[in-house]
Amino acid sequence: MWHTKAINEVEENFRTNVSSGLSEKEVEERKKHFGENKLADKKKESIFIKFIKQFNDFMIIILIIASIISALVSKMDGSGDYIDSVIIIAIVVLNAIMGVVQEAKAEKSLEALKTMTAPLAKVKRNGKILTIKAEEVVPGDIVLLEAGNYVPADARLIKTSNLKVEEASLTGETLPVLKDENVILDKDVPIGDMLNMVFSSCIVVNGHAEAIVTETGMNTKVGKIANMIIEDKAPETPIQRKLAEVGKTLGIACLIICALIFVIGLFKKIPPIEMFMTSVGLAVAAIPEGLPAIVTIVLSIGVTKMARKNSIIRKLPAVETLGGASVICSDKTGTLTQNKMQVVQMYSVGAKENKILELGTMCTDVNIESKDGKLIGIGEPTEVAIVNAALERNINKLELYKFKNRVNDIPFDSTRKMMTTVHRDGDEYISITKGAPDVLLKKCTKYFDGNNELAISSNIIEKIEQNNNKMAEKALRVIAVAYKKINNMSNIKEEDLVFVGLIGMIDPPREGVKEAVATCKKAGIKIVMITGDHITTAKAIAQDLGILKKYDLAITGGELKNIPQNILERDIMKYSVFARVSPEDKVRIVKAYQSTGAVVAMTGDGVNDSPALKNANIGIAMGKNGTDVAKNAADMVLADDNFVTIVEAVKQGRNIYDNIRKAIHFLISTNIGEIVTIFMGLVLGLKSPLLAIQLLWINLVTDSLPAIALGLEPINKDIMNKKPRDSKKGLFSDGLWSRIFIEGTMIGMLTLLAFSLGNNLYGVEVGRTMAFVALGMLELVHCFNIKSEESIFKARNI
Amino acid sequence: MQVIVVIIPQIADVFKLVPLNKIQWLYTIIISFIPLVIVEVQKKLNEIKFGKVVYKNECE
Repeated sequence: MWHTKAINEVEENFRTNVSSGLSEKEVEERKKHFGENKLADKKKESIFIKFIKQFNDFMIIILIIASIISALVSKMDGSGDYIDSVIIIAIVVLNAIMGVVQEAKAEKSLEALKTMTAPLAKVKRNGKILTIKAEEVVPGDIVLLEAGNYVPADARLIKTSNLKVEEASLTGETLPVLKDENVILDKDVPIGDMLNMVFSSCIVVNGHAEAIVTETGMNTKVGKIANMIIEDKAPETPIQRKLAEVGKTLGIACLIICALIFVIGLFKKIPPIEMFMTSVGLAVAAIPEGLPAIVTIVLSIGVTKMARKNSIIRKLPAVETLGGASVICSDKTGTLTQNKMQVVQMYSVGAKENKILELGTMCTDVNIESKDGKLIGIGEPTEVAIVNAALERNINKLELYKFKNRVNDIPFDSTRKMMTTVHRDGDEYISITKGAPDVLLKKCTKYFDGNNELAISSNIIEKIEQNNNKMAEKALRVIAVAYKKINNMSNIKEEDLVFVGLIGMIDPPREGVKEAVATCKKAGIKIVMITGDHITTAKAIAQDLGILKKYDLAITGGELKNIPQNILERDIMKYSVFARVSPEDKVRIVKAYQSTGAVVAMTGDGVNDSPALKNANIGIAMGKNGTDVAKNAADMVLADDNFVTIVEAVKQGRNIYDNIRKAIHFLISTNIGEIVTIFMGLVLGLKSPLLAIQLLWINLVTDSLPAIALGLEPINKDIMNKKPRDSKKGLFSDGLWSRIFIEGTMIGMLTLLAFSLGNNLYGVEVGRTMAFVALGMLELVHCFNIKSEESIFKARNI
Repeated sequence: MQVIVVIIPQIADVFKLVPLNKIQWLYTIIISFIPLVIVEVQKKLNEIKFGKVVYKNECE
C-alpha cells in the first residue's frame, strides 16, 4: 500500500528523514522490533535427527538385522552369547556418532562460506552513508541503490536517476522496469506496475536511486513466497555423482560375492549362522558406502581453507574444476595491477622535479587526509598520484595554499583535456594548467629552465615531444604542467603558458603477480589479460608481468569484432592480451578458449560481466569492487581482488582433487583387500580368516580415519610443476582402477599369509589375531604408499 | 587403534583375539611391511624410467 502514498507521507509514517536517515538509537529499536532482514532459514535438523538419519542406510539396516538374528539364534540354542550382537550395535552407534560429527563440521564450513558472501547494502544513517550487511537493514532506513545491486528490502522510491530494475524473481518478467518515484498509484495495481516501489531480491540494472525501506525479512513480497523457494541443499559435484554410481556398481558386485561366499561356506559345512554373520560383515566391510561422505568432508574442509586465503567458493563443484583450470582470463586494473597510479618518471627542460610537483599538486582537486599517521591524497587516481608524489617530497598542497590561496579555477573537461587553477601570489596571480601534453604544448609560448622563462623554440618542442613519446611507449600516462603570471583572477585564458615539465605515471603491478604468472606458466596454465584500457598500456604491463611473450599476440576489441568466431577459435591460443574489450567480447573469448578443450577461469566485476562469468568453467567475481550481480553469477569470489589469490585457489583446487583421488584409492583398495581375504580363505579351504565383528571394526572404525587423513594432505611442493588435469579424463584415469585391484589383492593375500602362518603354527585364534593386526597395519602402510608419488622418505609438502 | 584392541585383554576378549608373542608380532610386522618395500622399489623404478615428475610447460 506504500505505492499509494506520497513520499512525505511515507517519510512521516516511518519517522525517518530522507536527507539524514535514521539515528543509531532508532535503528537498534527497530532491529529489536522487526528482527533481521532475512528470509527464514530452512528448519535445521537437530543433532538427534541427524544421528537417527545415520541409520537410514541399507548396509546399516542389514547389520542391525544381522545382530538381531545373531541374538535370536543365541537365545534359541541356549548359549546366551550376545557379545557379537552387542559389539555390532556398538560399532554401528560409534560409526553414527563419527558420521554426525563429520557432517556437522562440513555443514559449519559451508554455513561460514554463505556468511562471507552475504550481500551488502548502502544506507544513510545519522547523515552518513554506510555500507552494512543487507540483513541489518530496518524499516525506515534510507537505502542507496546503484547498478549491480540487489535491492535489500521492499522500499518506496524517493529519488531516481534513470533507474531500471529487473523483477524477474517476483514477476517472471526479465525485461527491466523503468522506475519513477513521482507517481502515486491505485491500491490494486499488480507488482509489475508498482513503478514507485522496489522489491527485495530484484536487481538494479541501470541508474541509481534512494528509497525508504518499507518492509524487511519475511514481510517483503519475496518473503511471502519464500517457503516455495527456500532451498539450501548444496548441489552434488561431478565427483560425488560419479562416486554414487561407482558405489552402486561395487555394492551390487559385493553383494553377489557375499552370497557366493555364503553358499560356498554352506557346502564346506561351516555353521550357517557363522557363515551368515561373516557374509553380512563382509558385505558391510566391502561396500564403500562411506565414499561420498568422505568426499563431502574433504571438499567442505578444503573450501574453508580456501576461504581463509581469500578465495570464497560459492558453488562446491568449482573446487574440482579449479584444479583443472588451463586458461585464466584476468582483468588488468585492480587484479593484476594495484589500481593506484604512481608517479614513476618526470621530464623538464631544466626545471627541478620539485617545481613540477609543486605546481602539479596545487592544480588538483584532491583532498588530503591523515591515515595511520601518514598524509594521503583522496580523489581522482591521476591527481592522487601527483599529490602523493609531492607529499613524499614534503610538498603539501595545503601548506602551499596558505601562501598561494586558490581563488579560481576552470574544471577539467574532456574537450579541452586540461584544467586550470588560479592562485593569489602576493599582489599578483598565478594560473597553473595541467593536461594532455599534445594539447598543452600548443598553448605554451615559453618554457621554464629552472631560473628564467625563455621563449620556446621548435627544437625544444621537438625535445619535449620526443620525451613524451618515450614515456607513452612505456605505457605511462603523461601529464604536462605549465603556468603563467596574470593580473586578473577572473579573466583566465589558457594560452601563452610557460611549460614546466611532464609527469609520467603508471598503475604498477600488484606485489607477487609476476611470480604468480611464472608459477602458472610452469603449471601449464595460460594467462590472458583482458582489459578496457588502451592496447599500449595493456601490452606494456603484460610484457612486464611475463604474460605477453615474444610470439604472443595482443588484440583490441575493435579488431576482435572483425574476426569470425571460427577463425578466432582456430587462433585463440596465440592471443594473450585483449584490450579495449567490452563485457560482450568476453563471452566470445571464453567460448573460443573452451572450443580448444581448455578449462577457462574468467574474472569479472560488472553487471554486464555476468554472462561471461556464467559461461566460463569457473567464474571469478571481485569481492571488493564487484557488483552483487557479478558475485551471484560467479563460482568463486576473490575477497582481495588479487590475481595471486586465483593462483593460490588453483593450487588448492589441484590439491583437493588429488587428495580425493587418494582417499578413493585407499578406501576401495582396502575394501577389495578385505573381500580377497575372506573369499580366497574359503576357496583355499581355510577357516574364516576374520570374524564378522573383526571385519566390522576394521571397516567402520579403522578404514575411515586414514581415508580422511589422506583427504586432508597438505599441498605437495611440486603441485604447480604439473600440467593441468585433462578435463576429458575421468576420476579413475591413468590406471587407477588397475592399481586399486592389484594393491587390494596384495593386501588380501598378505593378510591371508599372516592368517595361514599363525593358523598352521599356533592355531586358529592366533591366526585370526595375526590376520587382524596385519590387515590393520597393511592398511596403514598402504596409506603411506598412496600419500605421494615420490618415495615416502622424500615426499615434500608445503 | 588396531594394536590397542589386541593389547588390552578386556577388549581383545570381546573381539575374540589373543595376545601375540614376540615372534608372532615379528611375523606380522614383516608381512605388513612387504608392500612398503614393493611400492618403494616400484617408485624408484618409475623415477629411473620416466625421470622426476616435472612436466614441461606446453605454453612456452
